Amino acid sequence: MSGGQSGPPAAGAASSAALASQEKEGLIVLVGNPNVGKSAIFGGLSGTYAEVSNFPGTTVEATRGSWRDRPLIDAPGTYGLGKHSEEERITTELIGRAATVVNVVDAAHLDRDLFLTLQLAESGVPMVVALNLIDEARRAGAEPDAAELERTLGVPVVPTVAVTGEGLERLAEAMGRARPGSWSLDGSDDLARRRAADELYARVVPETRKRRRIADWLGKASVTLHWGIPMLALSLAGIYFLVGVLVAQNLVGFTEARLGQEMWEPFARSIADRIGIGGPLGEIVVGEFGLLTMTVTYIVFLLAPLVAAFYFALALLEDSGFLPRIATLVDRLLGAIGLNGRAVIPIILGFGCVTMGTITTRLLATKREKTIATALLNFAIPCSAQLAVIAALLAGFGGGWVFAYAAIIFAILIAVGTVLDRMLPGKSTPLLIELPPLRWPRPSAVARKTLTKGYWFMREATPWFAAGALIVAVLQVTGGLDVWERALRPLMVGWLQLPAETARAIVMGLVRRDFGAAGLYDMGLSPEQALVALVVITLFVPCVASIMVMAKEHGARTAVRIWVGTWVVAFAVGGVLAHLLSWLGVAS
Amino acid sequence: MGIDRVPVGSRARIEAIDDATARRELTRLGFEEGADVEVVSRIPFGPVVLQRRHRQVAIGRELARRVRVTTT
Repeated sequence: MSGGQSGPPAAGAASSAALASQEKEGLIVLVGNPNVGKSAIFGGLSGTYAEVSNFPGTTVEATRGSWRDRPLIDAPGTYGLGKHSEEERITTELIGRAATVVNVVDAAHLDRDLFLTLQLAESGVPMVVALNLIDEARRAGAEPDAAELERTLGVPVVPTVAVTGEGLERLAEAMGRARPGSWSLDGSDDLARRRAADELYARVVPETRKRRRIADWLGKASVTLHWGIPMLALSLAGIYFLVGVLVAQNLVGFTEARLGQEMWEPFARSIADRIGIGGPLGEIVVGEFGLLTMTVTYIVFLLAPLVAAFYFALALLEDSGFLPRIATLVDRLLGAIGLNGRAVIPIILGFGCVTMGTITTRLLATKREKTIATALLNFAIPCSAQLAVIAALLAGFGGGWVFAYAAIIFAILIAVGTVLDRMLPGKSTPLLIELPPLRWPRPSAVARKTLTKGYWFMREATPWFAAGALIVAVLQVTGGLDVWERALRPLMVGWLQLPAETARAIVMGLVRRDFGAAGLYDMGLSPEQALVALVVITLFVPCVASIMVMAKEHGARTAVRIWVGTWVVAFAVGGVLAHLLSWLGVAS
Repeated sequence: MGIDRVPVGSRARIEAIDDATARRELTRLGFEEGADVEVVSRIPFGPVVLQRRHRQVAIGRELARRVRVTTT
């Protein structure tokens, strides 16, 4: 990976050798089960942000940083070492290169975590144990005996609360005393180690755990159909109310129209006038599709509030531990399209950003499942920015239009999934997923995640937006836009029954789908036209970043197939819908 | 019998897991052969949710058939 730079081979080899020896000298690797606060410890030690959430598999790739000039790596969460999964392989390989391993364990769920701890203690690598989330264990009335654990394992054990920074000083000090575990296992297989872990657990954790009536009840009820489905429906309704109503209609109505079009754009134009930018250049900079007018209004006043609201809702879902429970509830449904419940995680994340969702398909077990999930994401899942524009546009016409849109997209999702499930050889693998306890999301973690992801998304999207705006503006100045509109007229006007100008949104949609949706925002479409146009733009080509991720993960052929396939599906479905709507209109 | 046939609210002891991958994963998660578990939920045609101490795991129906148990 590090040897990939250009340059003379000798120099490249020398620098990668230097890098390897430097890593050998001081490399620290954080190792632990998924969802134990490893990322928070990483952030506390390195001072940089790694994502913290309450579901397994957030760190799909190892995150790199440094601590006091020593390289620090946050390994992917894993339940054990070996070569059975990608996470296990990466982690095992990193431990081989580590000078010190920090084993992060969840003090409140030590029974599970001790399996990996014993495996590390057997391996002979110098280590310390961070007994994280010790506050939760204390609150539950079952604080592990750190001294006894230290005696048994023969390595330093330090209680920590990573998200508040408690115990990190002492952890840093203990890292200087890291040593190989003095533990050895009678026997060699997983079962023997698991039984030893259970015995050790019984010795170090008192049987004084308090019963938490509400939490226990919720933990059980949330995975039954008659309680879980209403809870799921309620959360989705809550998200719709927050993003689709409060932010999309009330807040964005104010920021986009007032702040954007009435205040910012005239201001930008007056500045351009004053410094004498006019003609074609003025059109490109501050015209209808200008870089300083439309681009800024869309990004700052339309998308930013919507995307932030959406990431806030996603952060609540992630940090509460509800996502794996949703995976359990919908396992049966996803089984019908060749996936298992686990696939809701990339799909729900895809509603945040399709590119991110596509990357997260790595946590699925087989290539077949990865391909199906990737196709679904890139055919039919609108990302937060797009969804928000759609909600803002359609909600104005009434809830029925939103419902119709959702039903159509859902039907396409099922159709694409079913076709792929039939086409691809093999069958879906069974669900096996750990359900982390439900807990109140920590406000600081939610705020931080919302801001970080929102910022990441905007940083990712802005250059593409600007590029798209530039293309459209240049086309407009050169008359290319008229040519394009005329060329697409039969398709847009004849087949989709939309105004000819919607062809512009298609150009914008080629760069990013959400940009295309945003382009429809001010076109004054009728409800029927808006529905058709939004269905087309949702099913239309994935954004450039998604295509690149797909090409990287699944090869260029798959990426090109999906890209071409979206053109066909988008216009076929849109046209049928338009004709159906006009027929219904005539009939009624 | 398979754990898919254990009624909700009952306890059972896992005797054998007839699937190598699932056996490995469940052993790591603390739902190994020999463990006593409670069936917390059975979603119609869907996953079975098991609980041991205060931790839960969901397994698809097909797989649940291959987790053989005796009721206690």
